[in-house]
Amino acid sequence: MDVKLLELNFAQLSRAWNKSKFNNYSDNRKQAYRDRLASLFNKLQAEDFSNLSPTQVKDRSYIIDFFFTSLQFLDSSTLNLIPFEIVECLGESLKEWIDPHQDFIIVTSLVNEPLGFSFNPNLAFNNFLYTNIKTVYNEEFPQRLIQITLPRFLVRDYLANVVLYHELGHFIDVKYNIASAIHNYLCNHYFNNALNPQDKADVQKYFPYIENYRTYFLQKQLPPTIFYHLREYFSDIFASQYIGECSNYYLDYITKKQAQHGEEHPSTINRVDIVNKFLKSDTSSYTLNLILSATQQITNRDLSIRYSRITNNEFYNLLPCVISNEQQLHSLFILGWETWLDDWNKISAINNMQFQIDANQVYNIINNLIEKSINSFIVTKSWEKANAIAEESN
Amino acid sequence: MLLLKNQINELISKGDLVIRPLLDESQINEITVDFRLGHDFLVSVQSREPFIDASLKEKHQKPISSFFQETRRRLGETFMLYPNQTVLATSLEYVKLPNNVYIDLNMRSSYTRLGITISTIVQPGYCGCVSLELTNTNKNPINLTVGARVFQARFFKLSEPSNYFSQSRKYICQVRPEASAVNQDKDLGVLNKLREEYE
Repeated sequence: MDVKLLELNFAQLSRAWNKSKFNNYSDNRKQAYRDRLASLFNKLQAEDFSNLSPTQVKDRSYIIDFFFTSLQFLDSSTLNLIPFEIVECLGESLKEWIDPHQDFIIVTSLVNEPLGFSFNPNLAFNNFLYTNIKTVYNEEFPQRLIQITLPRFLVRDYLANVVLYHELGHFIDVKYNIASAIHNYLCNHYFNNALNPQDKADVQKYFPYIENYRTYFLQKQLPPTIFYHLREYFSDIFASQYIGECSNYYLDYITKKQAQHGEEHPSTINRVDIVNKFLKSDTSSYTLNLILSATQQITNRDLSIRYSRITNNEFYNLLPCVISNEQQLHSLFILGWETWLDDWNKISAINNMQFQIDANQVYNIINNLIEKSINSFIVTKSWEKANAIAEESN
Repeated sequence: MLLLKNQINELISKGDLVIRPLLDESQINEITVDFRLGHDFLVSVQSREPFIDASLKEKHQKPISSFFQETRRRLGETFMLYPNQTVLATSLEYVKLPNNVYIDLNMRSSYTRLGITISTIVQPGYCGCVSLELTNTNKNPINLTVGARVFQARFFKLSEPSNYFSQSRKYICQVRPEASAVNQDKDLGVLNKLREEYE
């Protein structure tokens, strides 16, 4: 890479940084990450690029790319752009799957695509980047970023945002290499004919193309389709621990109940089926059992129902729900979906509405009430914590 | 009839009056309930449009929301209220009023003394966070804390119940401030027809 191009790249970064460096983050860890970026920027700025070797130029280029991506996600993670309510819910489930000393920050980037939900593992797991920064500039980033992308116009849509639990599932999968381990085990057992007929049939159900891959397996040229599909199955099950079958509802809608699998995604029918089996504790599926047992062995944590139902759906009374614990927090999404799928005349009747309530009104009501329920839980918890600190210091 | 503390508490314990979250029971005073400043603000900003059109005269008018910028704060963070700036905010608390009780809102005396005024009535049966239209009449900016008890409500009981949902409502279960929907007033449509006849 030419030095001039690196300088161009840095000039672009300087412009972006000028816009972002004054961002305020309520999360101290995001602020700390931003401060590390500030320090890194000063070091980049102080360096004379013209004296660098081609390898060094390339290294700097990777660092600038890293800086840009960090900015992209931090910029969209301010309070004004992403509701802290949804991030809090994801944060609660994240806590259950990582060790306390591990410092990951959930950050979001907003895109204009209506189906633009995705997870990118780069800033969480690309050790090369962090080592490079440490070697070149002696800068360490104690926090890693969990990059989740979502559609800009759905940031306050708590029905659609159940998908974010699935994206978090991808992070957990990559962190522990779960799908990768299952993939090796499954393929070895299947292609070496180590499965009984019933288990073999179950594998063929969830991976209907698998028999066609036998030759590729023997030639050690197995395409990644099975691995990709395992990632999706894992993330679907991971999400359903917290939001039950809600991800199925949204999945059905966005994939139009797709009956055929694609390169990266299994058929919607199979995805819904495996989630339903998991939720019903149906132990008949070899594939599901393999995912469950492998996850337990690898992470020392169980894939299990981790939400607790709120018995009284107060949304019908136009009230936010009172949440007692984190498990109930997740089930708000279930309540929201159930209300949406129910007969809206119930809302009109209970509240003596003399007019027909329409879809837009119900959509706003549900989203507002979910947000306020989460918000009140966070506020109450923060208030109690602040009071305890105040009492201690008195 | 103005409700007293024990009457307000009774309504709450029966579930007829809902205030969530009620962080501190001391918010319920002898004749008022203190409410806290919420997280969300709509701040009036100058736009390329020359004026806010609260009529239906202009056919291609910009929405009123385009004259406001949304901003959020977390509990304990602060928000600067500048002199003569209109800021829409909400209470931290979500309320649901009985169908025979309305509330009359004022700033708490400590804030009125700083030059912040509000005066609003919330109708019987209303449910949502209470909308606040804050204006700072002081010559100096005032820094407010999210979660602070900034305003208070007096509760009045009517002799007869009323139905909040006897007609379609512009604001249901509002939890963040919403810009004025004045252009949706049906009367404006009628009055606009009249004006068109003059022309």
